[in-house]
Amino acid sequence: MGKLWLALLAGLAVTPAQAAAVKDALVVDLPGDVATMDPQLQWDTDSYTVYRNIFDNLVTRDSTGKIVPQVATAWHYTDDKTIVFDLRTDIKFQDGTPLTPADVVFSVQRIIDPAFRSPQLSQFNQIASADVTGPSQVTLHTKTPYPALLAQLVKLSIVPKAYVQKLGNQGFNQKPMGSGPYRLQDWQRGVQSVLAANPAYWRGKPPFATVTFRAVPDTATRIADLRTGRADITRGLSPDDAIALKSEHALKVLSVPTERVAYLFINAEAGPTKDVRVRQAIAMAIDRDTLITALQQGYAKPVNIVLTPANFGYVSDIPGWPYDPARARALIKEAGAEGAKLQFLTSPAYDRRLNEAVQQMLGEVGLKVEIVTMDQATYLKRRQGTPQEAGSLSQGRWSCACQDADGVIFPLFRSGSIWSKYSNPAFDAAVDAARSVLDPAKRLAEYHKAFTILREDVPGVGLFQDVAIYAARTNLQWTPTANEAFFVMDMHWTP
Amino acid sequence: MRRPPPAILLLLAILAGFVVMALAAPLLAPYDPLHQSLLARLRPPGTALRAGRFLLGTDDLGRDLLSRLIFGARASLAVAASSVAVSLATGSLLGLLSGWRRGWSEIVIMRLVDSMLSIPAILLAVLTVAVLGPGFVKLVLVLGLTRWPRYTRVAYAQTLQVAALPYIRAAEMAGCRPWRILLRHILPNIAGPLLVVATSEFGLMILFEAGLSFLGLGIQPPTPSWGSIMSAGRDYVARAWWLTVFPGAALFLLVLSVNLLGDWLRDRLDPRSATR
Repeated sequence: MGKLWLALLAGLAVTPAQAAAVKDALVVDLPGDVATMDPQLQWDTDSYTVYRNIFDNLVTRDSTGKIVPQVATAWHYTDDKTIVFDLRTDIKFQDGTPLTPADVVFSVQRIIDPAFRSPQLSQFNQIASADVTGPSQVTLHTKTPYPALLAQLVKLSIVPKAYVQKLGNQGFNQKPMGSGPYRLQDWQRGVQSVLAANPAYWRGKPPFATVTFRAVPDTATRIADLRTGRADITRGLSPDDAIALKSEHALKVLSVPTERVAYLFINAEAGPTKDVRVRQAIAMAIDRDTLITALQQGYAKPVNIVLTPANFGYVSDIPGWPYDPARARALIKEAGAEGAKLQFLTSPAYDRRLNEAVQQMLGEVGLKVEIVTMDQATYLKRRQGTPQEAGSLSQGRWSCACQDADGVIFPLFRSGSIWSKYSNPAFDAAVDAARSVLDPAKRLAEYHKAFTILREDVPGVGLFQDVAIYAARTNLQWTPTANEAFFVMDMHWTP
Repeated sequence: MRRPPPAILLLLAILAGFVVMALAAPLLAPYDPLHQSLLARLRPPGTALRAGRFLLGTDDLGRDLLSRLIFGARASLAVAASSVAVSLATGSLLGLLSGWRRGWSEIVIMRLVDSMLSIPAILLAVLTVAVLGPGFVKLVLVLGLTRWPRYTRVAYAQTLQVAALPYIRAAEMAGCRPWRILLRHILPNIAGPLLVVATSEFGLMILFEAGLSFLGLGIQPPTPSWGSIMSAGRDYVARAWWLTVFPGAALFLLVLSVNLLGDWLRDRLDPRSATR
């Protein structure tokens, strides 16, 4: 009897120790669950973090942010609107079937089909058609010369044509299958998704046998999971969390300035902010340095425009508005807007502290800001609705995951866009021109024009370049990137 | 009338303390509860800076927690008192009406009460705020108009009882108009049980307000309320315990004293439950 107990105890003692020595698994705590596994549907950051590990892309970005080959080996333009891709021939999907040009064409056609109703449609609808033009060649045609095409293709996942057609869209969402380093093993909705390594992956053996992505909405719980070893890495932490974690030995904070810009939206078409002097005064009333040093505790970088240096189209020589409350107060008096009431629309998804700090800063120059918190759906409906519904102010954290100005100021300020509450034909002409010419120098010149106009009209103020904050076990090696991609393939344990 | 026991006097004193705190907030609060100083964020209780001494520390925007707590009592008590008044008035009136008139009004009102009681109040409140938008008056209306059925039930049952008593018949025969009978003869006689319901609801209302503000749908920033202070403090439980502990303790103390007072009141007004 005694011996049996000893054996049992020994068994118990050995199992965890062995697991620790092998460390073949990675556990990731995410703020939310995957909305869909179909990479061509939902693209919120949590879905994106998981499913991109299941699929490959035509092109990808290296650690410096340069666009480099993945499924495509090379590409060239035959004219301004036609681009030819040569593809690898040695890639196999996880069911063993080879990845062919037909799959690439199918992936493009699927996402640009308006009937498919992909929320990513606006990112790809400049593509007019895709054709197989050789045994390992695909040709894309764009409606106009479209310079951001490659940047957008970085996030177009290649899906298997025959498999998707066999299972249908719903079936594919439940059992996704791609050519990437991991395949979906188990998906418990609202709880976790488990990915298993694809041993035959063409770029090499994936670093972990399994990767578990758990949905843990509460930040304090995610941090506790890291501390107790229940999780290995987590994302979506605040600067305050990062400071608190700095003294931990077993954990490290990973952070990177991203292409995400924090900005203050100002309604230029309704309410007191219709007067450009009020908008300029708001720009001068905000002490961005204090926001960065005190609120963000240094986890942010100053910007002079509504764009980050991680995006193409960033122009550094346009001065931002200086912090000058005295001039702001004078401008507001001149505009007769003293004591004007401004509605600041927001939802619990946005940083409450930033809202309240801005409220106080604007209060100091004589504007009465009323913060109106709504649930996210109502907030989006009003923010994207008519200028009268959209309130005077709101906070935004914008990223197009394409690192191009076209994905930022075009949707935010081009007249006709659902987000825009501003209209200036000269600005529209500049951003339209910048998205239909391939020459980078010409594009930059157009963006220079566009940002010069935005500076005077102030339909929004760039607050800072956001920094993505992750925390991980000290022995996990990984370098986060500006586009907030989360490729498990790039991580590994150090012994 | 016997003197209330000392424990009850203590509870009354605590309650009075909170009321005085709310009414005299501008005199009592050491600092402006809205004034931020971003460079003095999350200082622990007792911190002394050039700007002064922060007895209960500062919050995540560098505002004095003690001042915010004192002003926060206003939000809690004002919302609770007004919404109890709204639901007490609505509920009692409908209860009186259905108990007196009987017939169709009884059927319609009492079935409405049943269906209202089957909907979770907090869910209904969240939905209403989502549609109407947040704000003090809306919050009071939402809380008041979701909680009236409890009063209606009590008022209805009591009205049925009282209406059958001989003195009501006498009043009727003396030519009293129905409204006069309802308000002068029935209402005062059913006021006791309604008051008991009101005290227990008062505690609940304070918690509802805190809950809705915790969800960001109640009192809007920067106006402090205990619920919103705790909600903000939740992110800092490990780093700044004072942001949740102090408002939580205040909320606990207030609700506890109101509920105990309600219990005592029930025993005093209802002789049957006293002998139990």
